[in-house]
Amino acid sequence: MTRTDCFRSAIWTFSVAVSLAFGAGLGSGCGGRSGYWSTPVDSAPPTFALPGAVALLDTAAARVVLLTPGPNQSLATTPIPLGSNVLNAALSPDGRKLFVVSGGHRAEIGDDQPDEHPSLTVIDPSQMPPEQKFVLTTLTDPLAGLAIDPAGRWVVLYAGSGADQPFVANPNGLVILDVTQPLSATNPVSHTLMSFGGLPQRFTFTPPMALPTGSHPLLVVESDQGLSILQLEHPEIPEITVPLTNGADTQLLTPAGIAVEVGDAQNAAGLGIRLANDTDVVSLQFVAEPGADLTVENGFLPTVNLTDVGGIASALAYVHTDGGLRLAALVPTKSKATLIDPVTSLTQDVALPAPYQSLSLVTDPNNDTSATNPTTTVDVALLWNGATTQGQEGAAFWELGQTSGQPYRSIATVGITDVISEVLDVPATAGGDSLKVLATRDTASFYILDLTTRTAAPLLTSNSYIDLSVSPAGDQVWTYVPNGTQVAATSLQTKQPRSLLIERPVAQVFEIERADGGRSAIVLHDEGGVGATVYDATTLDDRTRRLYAGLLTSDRATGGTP
Amino acid sequence: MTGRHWLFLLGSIAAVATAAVPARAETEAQLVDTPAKVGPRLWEGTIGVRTVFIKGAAFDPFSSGDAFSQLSVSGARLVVRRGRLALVGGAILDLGSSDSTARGAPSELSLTRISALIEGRYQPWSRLYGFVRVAPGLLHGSASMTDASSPAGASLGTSFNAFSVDASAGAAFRIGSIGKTGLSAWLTGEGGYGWAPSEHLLLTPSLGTDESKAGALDLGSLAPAGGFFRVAFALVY
Repeated sequence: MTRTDCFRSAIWTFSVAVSLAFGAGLGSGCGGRSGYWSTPVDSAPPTFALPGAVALLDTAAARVVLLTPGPNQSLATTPIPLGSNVLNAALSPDGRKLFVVSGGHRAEIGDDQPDEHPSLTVIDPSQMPPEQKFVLTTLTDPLAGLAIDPAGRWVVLYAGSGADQPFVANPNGLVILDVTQPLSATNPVSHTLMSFGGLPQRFTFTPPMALPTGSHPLLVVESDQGLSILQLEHPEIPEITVPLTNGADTQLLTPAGIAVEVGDAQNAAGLGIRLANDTDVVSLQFVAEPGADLTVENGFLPTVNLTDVGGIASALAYVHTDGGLRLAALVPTKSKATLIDPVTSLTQDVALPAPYQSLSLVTDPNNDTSATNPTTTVDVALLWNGATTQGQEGAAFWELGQTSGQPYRSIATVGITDVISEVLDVPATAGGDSLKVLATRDTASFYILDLTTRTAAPLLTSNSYIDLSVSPAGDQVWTYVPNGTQVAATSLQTKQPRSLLIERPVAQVFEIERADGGRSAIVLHDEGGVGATVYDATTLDDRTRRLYAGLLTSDRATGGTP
Repeated sequence: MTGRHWLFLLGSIAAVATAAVPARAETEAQLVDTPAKVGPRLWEGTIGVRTVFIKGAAFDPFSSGDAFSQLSVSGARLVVRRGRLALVGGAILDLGSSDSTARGAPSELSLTRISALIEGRYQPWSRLYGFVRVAPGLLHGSASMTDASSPAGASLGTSFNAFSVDASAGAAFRIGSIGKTGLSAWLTGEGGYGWAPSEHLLLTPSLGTDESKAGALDLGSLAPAGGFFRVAFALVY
């Protein structure tokens, strides 16, 4: 090879090297993109209806996206960042706030992602900014359990289940946070419940109760062996523990649900407890603890009464009858209800025409006009789940204004022959709050129950697999087939259904009040990047509906201009 | 065609050229040395790869990196020569696309640019010249995303047209002549900045007369501009 050939070979080699270097180096893209774009959207992201907006929880991207409907079926999107490693999310019981718990991140050596403490993000679309983040620096391990006060003030974090939970967890350890107050040395408060081996099962936040020390809200924790009662305003004070036994043997009794009476001028505050493994019903009333130091003691003690109702109670509620306040227990195995006087523990059985398992107060504190003494405040209860097979009457009104005179006449059955799975409340309208929607189990129907006329209007569907939701204005009920394309809105006044024209499979349907006073129906489609069909909820005009795609795809806020 | 395809094409050209080296030793060289002189060299055609770095966040849905590669083809002619200086005019076609997935949804961005080429050269040696170049042109872009939530399962897309201009400087190295055809092979490299105005990417499905029933997927403003490199193989006559 001559020098010239060598030179040319060198040049060619150089050329190839330069080409490949440019191609490989530049083509592969110096500088990477945000990991956001490489994270697929969850297949069925959790969704929540908030006032004025629908919240989509984008767990993979650690954010919530608020969908805010506007005029002309426009839809604005507002991403709200969350802490890393989203563990749990729940609406406050009043539906006004969304609470999201994040586990944070513990950076390993060489980790690009910095250390991050667990956090709680509270999202309230009526506030600006809508999010409030509480970084829980006192927590080292994340807690996935989340219980929320109905008023949205207190949040209890506790050890949950799942892979992201600590290797060793204290199931009786609670972290109580007042989200109306800034974080401080006393907020949140960590509290470990005294345990005799029991594990917490349910948390109940009571309204302020008329206690001997004044009006205070309580946290009632049901464990599998007893009850703990904690003052929410002073979680640092040791709780009251009520281990449950029936006194006849050593069997530990397991609570199955509680009823709360907040108390007033006529009636003392109390708690009713039904049991999963005993025929007793427990009632607690509170008496003053003389000489107690209220800075470190509760100042009240519970008195415990056990009443045998003859069978396992399936539902329990405090009711106002013509004979006074009673604790009503449904005993389906005996097809009866038992009224317990919480003061004397005297009982009165009311025979029922069917083994009703569920009870809802439908006129509380509305007067039962048929009461023997119309001047007293009495309740009407709806008894349901009385039938486990089709063809039997499954619901009845229990008029508690006639219990002391002729209790057998106090039951009026309703001609519903389907098994009821859920009673949906209808928000009060100008015409009153006299309606309920009854969902049925695996049957192609639902009912609109009019409490005034005691009638139940059936609505039939072409599919038995349906979901229902009631409009916040209380004027229509939405019916849809999950993963289907059938959606209808039925007027609660005229019972007239109107169907929507939906092209994509439906995940959920929400009716949202707009800032301009109108209402929009948002039909979510959880395919791909999540889409939505937006209707005007009043006109339901197909011609003005708008369809949106990829709501969780973009990383930016949009103004929602039509 | 994606940037990887252009890379493959360029690599193929280089590989063919490399393979020609041992063949030349056996069959008498097709590329021969020429005397060191500045020849007339009137016509020139090139094929190469132009890679631009697009730094904007709106490019992220369409690529895992910042680089956007295009096939670059150009033709040029010597307009005037004064000693070692020359002015060249011509046209460049850059076309390419980048595909990726955006949160699991297949996405694609394609950019096609046709530009006028105005180039000044200084050639101190017959094997080498340097140049500065301005290339104003028209840019056509289209972006699409296939999302299952789209109405009727259709792809979401948008397109735009914009003015663009490249300003660059580079050098060309003559590899050799090709036999006695009067053709010579050159390798050129250049770097510069390509400018184009930002375009707001609002992707919508194609619904014909029902277009107004669909909301847009807003991916923000994309500025298909940034520093770029171009590597090309040229044949000069």
